[in-house]
Amino acid sequence: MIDLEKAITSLAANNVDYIIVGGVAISLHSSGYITQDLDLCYSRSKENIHRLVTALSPFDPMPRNWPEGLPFIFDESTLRNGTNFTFDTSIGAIDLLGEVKGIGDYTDALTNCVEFTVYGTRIKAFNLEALIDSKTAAGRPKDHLVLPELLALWEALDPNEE
Amino acid sequence: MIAAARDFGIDLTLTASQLRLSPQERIDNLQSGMKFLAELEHARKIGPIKKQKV
Repeated sequence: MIDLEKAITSLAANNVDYIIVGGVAISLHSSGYITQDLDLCYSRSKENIHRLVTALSPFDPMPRNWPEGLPFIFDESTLRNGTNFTFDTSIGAIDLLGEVKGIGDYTDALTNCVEFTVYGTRIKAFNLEALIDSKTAAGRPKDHLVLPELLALWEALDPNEE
Repeated sequence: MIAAARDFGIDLTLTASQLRLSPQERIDNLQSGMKFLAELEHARKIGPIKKQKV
């Protein structure tokens, strides 16, 4: 289970450029869906990777299902050498996505997000359309399960609807 | 879409009540839900309590 307050507060304190893209974003849009992790689309600029490592290092990230006893170093080099990562941390599961299926990278995601205020800080999260597009593109059964509610929310909240 | 969600089995009354909350309240509800699911998972791992023979 992810400790959202600790994660979001640390990311904000270090000025990390990120967008919440998964189940937490779905909840922010009023779905009753319950996730257990925090999925972030992050900017892959050199400066932001440095800030991201600074923000998450205190929580000892390790790749999920990493063999016990095998050493792992969470640093800027590690993040530069990959794109998408799934980590277990001392505050719960955090997935870092350099690219999101159906949407693209952080720059693409910026045009598909809205802002919310939680824990006294402004955060960005996917808008409903981006959540629907990314879940449709991901195509896994668990993604398809949330689509009916997302589509209903999208229809109910569409300002163009009468 | 709303009818389709209802037919799919989504309880839209819960969705409607979530819509009335602030983003912080929605996040707080999510965190509570996570804790509850973690408790359920813990209980599942322990298994059912066996009845004692009287």
